[in-house]
Amino acid sequence: MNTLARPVAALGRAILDTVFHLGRYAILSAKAFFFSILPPWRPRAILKQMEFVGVDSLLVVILTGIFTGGVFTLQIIYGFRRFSADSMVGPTVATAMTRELGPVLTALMVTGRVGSSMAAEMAAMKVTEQIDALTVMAAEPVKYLISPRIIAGIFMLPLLTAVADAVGVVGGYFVAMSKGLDSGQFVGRIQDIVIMDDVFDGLVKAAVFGFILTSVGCYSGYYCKGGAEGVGKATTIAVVVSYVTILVGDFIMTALMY
Amino acid sequence: MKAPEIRVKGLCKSFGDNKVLKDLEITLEAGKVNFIIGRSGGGKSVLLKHLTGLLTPDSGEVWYGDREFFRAGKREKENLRKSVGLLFQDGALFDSLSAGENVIFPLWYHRAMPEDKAKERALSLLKDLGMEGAYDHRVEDLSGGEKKRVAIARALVMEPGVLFFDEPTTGLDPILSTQVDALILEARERTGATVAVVSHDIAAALSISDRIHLLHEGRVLLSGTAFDFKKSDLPEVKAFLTGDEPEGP
Amino acid sequence: MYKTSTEIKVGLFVLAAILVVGWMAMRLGTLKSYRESYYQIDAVFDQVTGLKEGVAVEIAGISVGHVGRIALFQDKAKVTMLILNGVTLPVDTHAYIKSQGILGDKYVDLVPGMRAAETIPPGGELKNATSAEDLTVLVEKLGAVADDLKKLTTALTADGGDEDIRTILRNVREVSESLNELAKANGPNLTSSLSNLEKASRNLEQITDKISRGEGSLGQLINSDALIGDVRSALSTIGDIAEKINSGQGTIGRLVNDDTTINKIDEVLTGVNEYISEGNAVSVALDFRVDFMTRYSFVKGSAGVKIFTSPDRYYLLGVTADYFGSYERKDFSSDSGNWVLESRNRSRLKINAQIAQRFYNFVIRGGVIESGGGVGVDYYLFDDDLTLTFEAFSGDFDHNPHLRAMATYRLWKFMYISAGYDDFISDLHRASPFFGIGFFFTDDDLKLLFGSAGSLLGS
Repeated sequence: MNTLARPVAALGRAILDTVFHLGRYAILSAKAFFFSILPPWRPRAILKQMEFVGVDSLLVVILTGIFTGGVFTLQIIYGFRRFSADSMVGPTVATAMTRELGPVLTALMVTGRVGSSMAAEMAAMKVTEQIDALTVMAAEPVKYLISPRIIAGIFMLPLLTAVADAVGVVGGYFVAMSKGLDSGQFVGRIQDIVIMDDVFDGLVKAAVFGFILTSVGCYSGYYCKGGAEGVGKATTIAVVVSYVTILVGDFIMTALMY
Repeated sequence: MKAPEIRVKGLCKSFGDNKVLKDLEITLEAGKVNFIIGRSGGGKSVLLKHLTGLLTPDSGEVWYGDREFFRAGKREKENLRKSVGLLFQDGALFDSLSAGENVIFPLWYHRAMPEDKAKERALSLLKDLGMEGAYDHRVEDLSGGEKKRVAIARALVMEPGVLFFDEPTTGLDPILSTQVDALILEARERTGATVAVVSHDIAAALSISDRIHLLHEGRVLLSGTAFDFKKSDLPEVKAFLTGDEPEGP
Repeated sequence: MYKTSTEIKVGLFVLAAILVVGWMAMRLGTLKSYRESYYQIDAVFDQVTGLKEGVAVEIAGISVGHVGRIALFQDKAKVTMLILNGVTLPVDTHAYIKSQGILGDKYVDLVPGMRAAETIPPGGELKNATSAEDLTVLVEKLGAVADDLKKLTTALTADGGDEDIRTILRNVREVSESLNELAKANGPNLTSSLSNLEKASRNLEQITDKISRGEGSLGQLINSDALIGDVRSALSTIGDIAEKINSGQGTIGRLVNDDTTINKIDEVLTGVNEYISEGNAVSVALDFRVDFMTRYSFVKGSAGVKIFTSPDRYYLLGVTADYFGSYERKDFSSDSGNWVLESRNRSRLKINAQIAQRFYNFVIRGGVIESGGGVGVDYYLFDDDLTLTFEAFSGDFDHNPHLRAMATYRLWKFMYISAGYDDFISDLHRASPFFGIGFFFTDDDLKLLFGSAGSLLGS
């Protein structure tokens, strides 16, 4: 009986844990949202996070964008040549970058850089009682720590994605040139085929990803347990959960948008 | 609110099956240095977390003067908190800010005064604590004792009516411990606040306290002056005073 | 507490990113299309396979607009094109659907006419619309031609093929040469031949004359008096009948000539007319639903028509296809004395015929439900989006009544989803949860959907 009951109990516990975390995550996100619209606002706290999420991620996002666009072009150029569809290389790269690769890869890179660091920072603040210190000083920690981070994520990710989109197409352009395409062939049909809605849909996705990676990072750190080990665990969880959520969320949003 | 009396009535708290506080009653005298001592696991830090509103009790009341903390409205609670300073064991300084910014933080967060005025006050506080050069230092570059001083400055900057110290001398060498004891007295002198020190440092308790409360298994076993403790016949008190019981957090 | 460099950095970054978005917006043309304005013209193509809304409309390879809407119009495709203001098209402009390369997208190519001075006005129609030759058809034809060519060449290149070709060519040359000579030599004869031909045609004319005058056997047949007589008598009989009807003789005659009958019919028609015009007219709705019975993994489909005689009252006629069907009960005892139920699927198609009346949010209905007598209640919620239904009717084979509880939710105007529990007190273990999808069309929707078909029927 016991051997039968144990796996069932484990399953039940896993489900209860999931529900518990989802509920607490939802409450924390709602609180963060609520506090972010409630005065007093702290524009400079948001600015600081914007610098961290946006400006400081610029280099890594540009590199990701250029190489993604480049390698994608490299891959499709051979296939497309067989159909003499050279002029479709540009539009394909541009569509892929704006709709999918730009938003998703930017989000994944920023998760690795920012989401993990937010989780670690939160967790460290938790274990060294800095969060308690905020509470005692009547400084609401969710408002002071989490709201600015989430706002920064929501606003910065679309902008980073726009940059990634642009440099991705540029990267693809240079690769295409090196493979003997004309610049007109590459650029010409982009304007016919790619529409601004592709870009905007991608940016909307990016904003959602920005919310996911910051809120998940903050959540896993804010509720971390244990000492140094807890900090490490919170970081890992933040990255893994953010990655999976971003990819699943991307699928759902794509299904809804197109 | 200047130096209120703090009264705890019927405080109960359990974590799972573990009853940590059992119908605890304690009164911290206004404007005095109150020591709360006891063995590890006796409920000292849990009591402190209730006093500072970091934990919510299962039942019971915490009165600051004539106001009950847990039934207070949002705004009232905020005001109560602003009048309370807490020195965490390790200081709990924000390591994203410099030492001076840590001291200014409460003033800045609550927009209590213009920034230049706030900086003036922080500098003078740091100077009083012998830390005048440390304003722009990063927290991670400070030593343990320096961190504690900066943390005290941060606790004092809002001119609180109540000051809590959580294990202020734990992990410090004897000389530093003496300095911290002096700081506690000095802080009380400066602010006239009600001071509560949670500690297992019986020597400090006997030397600088006005009143000592011994916590044992979730209840107050004895409240009294150092003299009361010295002449007490209770075996737990005797054991604590002679250090027979293993100590340490 | 924060350095101004933070503000500057973030500011610069945001500005740069916004510039990038703006640049993309300009390049990708969204902003442009807000500035430029278009006028509409329609063109009707036989077929527009592969043409998509939004593709380019070009003149001489230069984009002058795009395809707005493609809709069915009397079995053909009506394509609405948005043409840039300032581009004028003569009325004899041709529109072709072309594709960019063999795999490329379809687009509309306009070839402006030459002769007409008049131009197509905004909202006007372009008359000369030609569908592209369907690529597959083209390929098939090409294939056939290629096959023929191949056969020919095989035949010719077969043994002695060259010789054959040479012979053929020689023969052709000889024939043409001799023809030439013939023409030269027989010039006068040719002229007489032509005059003979003229005579022959004149004779033919005379023959037809004779036929029409009844001469000759053919002429007699066609001009036969007897035949004419038959036809004439037949016609006169019809005339007699008509006369009799007119004068009120016979049943039909009386019916037709009786004023009271006419009056009665008139009354009825007037009544119907009044009823129709007064009661918001009769409207009809079609309802299709398929439910997946999860326990037995089969699909139950139903189709019905709701005839609304007023907004609150409707009649429901329809059929349900049910795997379980209507059973025929055949009980008999076996050798061992046990009852054995033998059943046959008599019909899997069941009939629905109900009358329904709505009271506020409730609809009470009754009649024949799935070929059994029964009643049902519908409760409408959230602007009729959500419907809770309970039905009870006699299960023909089951001892217990057939009960069904169901909720349907309208997702879009035409579509809803359903879920519920069917036959849940069945003593034949037919109880099963189900879920499904349904479609609901009012006659207005149908008119819209089948507008072109309707107008075809009308004409």
